[in-house]
Amino acid sequence: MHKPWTPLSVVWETTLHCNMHCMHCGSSAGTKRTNELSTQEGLHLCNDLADMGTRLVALMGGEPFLREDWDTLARHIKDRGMEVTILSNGYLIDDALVRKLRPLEPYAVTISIDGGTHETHDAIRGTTESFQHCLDSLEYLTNAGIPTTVVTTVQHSNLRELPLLRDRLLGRGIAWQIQMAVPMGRFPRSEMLSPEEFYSVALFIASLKKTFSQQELPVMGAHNFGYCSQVLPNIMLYPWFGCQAGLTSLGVHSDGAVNGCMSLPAAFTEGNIRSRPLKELWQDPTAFSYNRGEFKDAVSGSCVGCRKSKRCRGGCLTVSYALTGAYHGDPYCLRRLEQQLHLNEK
Amino acid sequence: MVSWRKEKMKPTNQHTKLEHLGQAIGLDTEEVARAKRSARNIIVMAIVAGAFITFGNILMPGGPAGQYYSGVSIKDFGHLFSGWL
Repeated sequence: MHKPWTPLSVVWETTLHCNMHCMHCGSSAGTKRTNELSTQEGLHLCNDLADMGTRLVALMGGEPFLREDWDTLARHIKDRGMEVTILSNGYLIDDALVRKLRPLEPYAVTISIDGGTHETHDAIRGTTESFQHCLDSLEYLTNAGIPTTVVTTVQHSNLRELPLLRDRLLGRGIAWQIQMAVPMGRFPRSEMLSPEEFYSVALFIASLKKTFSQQELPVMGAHNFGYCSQVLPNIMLYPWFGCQAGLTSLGVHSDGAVNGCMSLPAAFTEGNIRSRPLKELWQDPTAFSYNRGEFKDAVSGSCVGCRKSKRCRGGCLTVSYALTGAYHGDPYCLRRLEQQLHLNEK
Repeated sequence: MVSWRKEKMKPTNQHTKLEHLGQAIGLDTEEVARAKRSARNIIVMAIVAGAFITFGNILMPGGPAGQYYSGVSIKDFGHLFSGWL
C-alpha cells in the first residue's frame, strides 16, 4: 500500500492572461486561454483542495490580478481554512487594490523583479515602466503591513545587477527568493546562466546569508539552487529532500489541467479536473510515477553513483528534464559543479 | 559524465577559484571567504535535517518544501531553526 500523499502546497495558474511579455516566461503567458476555469469551477477546486488537506494555495498567472474574481477566489481559500499567496508582476498593484488585499491577510504577496535598474528589468519584462510599478507596489504592500516577497529570476543579462537589487531590498523586511531561469516556454537557452555563473549566484546568496541577519535581509535560493554543497552552507531556507511534485505539491493550470508542479511541461500532465475529480486524479496509483512510482529513485546522468542521490533524488525535475530530457539528473547541482570546477579541493 | 570517485587532479587553490567566481558578481575577498560553510553550518544542518525528517510537515503551511514552489513568505523565515542556517 502506498503512502497517502497530501498536496500541502498548490500553485494555481488562475489565468494565462498577462499584461507583460517576459523573456523567461515558462508558460508563454499573454493571451487568456479560451477555456479557463469559471468562478464556480474555481470555488469547487478550492473546496476539493481543502478536503484533501491542502494548507497553502498560491494564485499565479499570467497575472492573477487580471482576473476580476481574484478576490472572490482568495476569500474562499481563506474561508476554507487555507493560506493564500499571490504571485504578481506588480503592475496593477495600487492603493485601491491593497485595500482589497489587506483584509484577506495573505500569507505573502510576491512581486517579480528581474533587475536592479529600469533598463534591465523592463527589457526582460517586455514592458516599459514596469520597474517603477514594481517599486511602487513594494511601497504599497509594506506600508499596509502585508508580507511581501520579491522573486528574482536570474539569467545571463541580469546576473550582475543582483548587488543593486540587494541594496534596494536591504532593511525593508521584504523576503527575497532568487531562482534560475530555465529554457522553457519563451526563454532562450542562450540567456541561461553558465555553470560558473550559476555558482557565482550561489556564492552571492551564501554571502548574503552570512553577512546579514534575517531581519536585515531574509534571502533564500529557490528549489533550483542547491544541492548538498561541500563548500557552501545550505542556501535554501530548509534542507532539500528531493523534488516534491506529486508528493506534497500540485499545480493546476487555468484550463483545469493538473500536474505535480507548475514548472513541469505538458508531458507531465496527469489529467484534467473537468473530466475527472481532483481527488481521484491525486490518488490514482499510476499518477506522478516520476516521483511516486517506478522512476522515483532512478537518478540519471552525473547523479548516478552520487552518495547523496537517495535524499536529493537528482535535484529539480524541471531543470533536469529541460536540459537533459531525463528525470532526476539536474546538471546544475552545486555538489557536481564543485567537482567539475575542482572547488572541493583545498 | 562526472566521476564521483576521488580523481587525481592538479593541485588547485580553492580560495582563488572562489574569489574569481565571486568577483564576477561583485563580491570582494572578505565576502567570498565569509560565504564558505563553517563547522557550525554543518552541525546545525545535520540537526535540522533530522528534525525535518521527524516532523517537518507540521512546521509551516505547504510543508518544509512548500516555500520553494509557492514563493517564500517572510513568515517562513521566522520558523523553528531557520535563523541558524
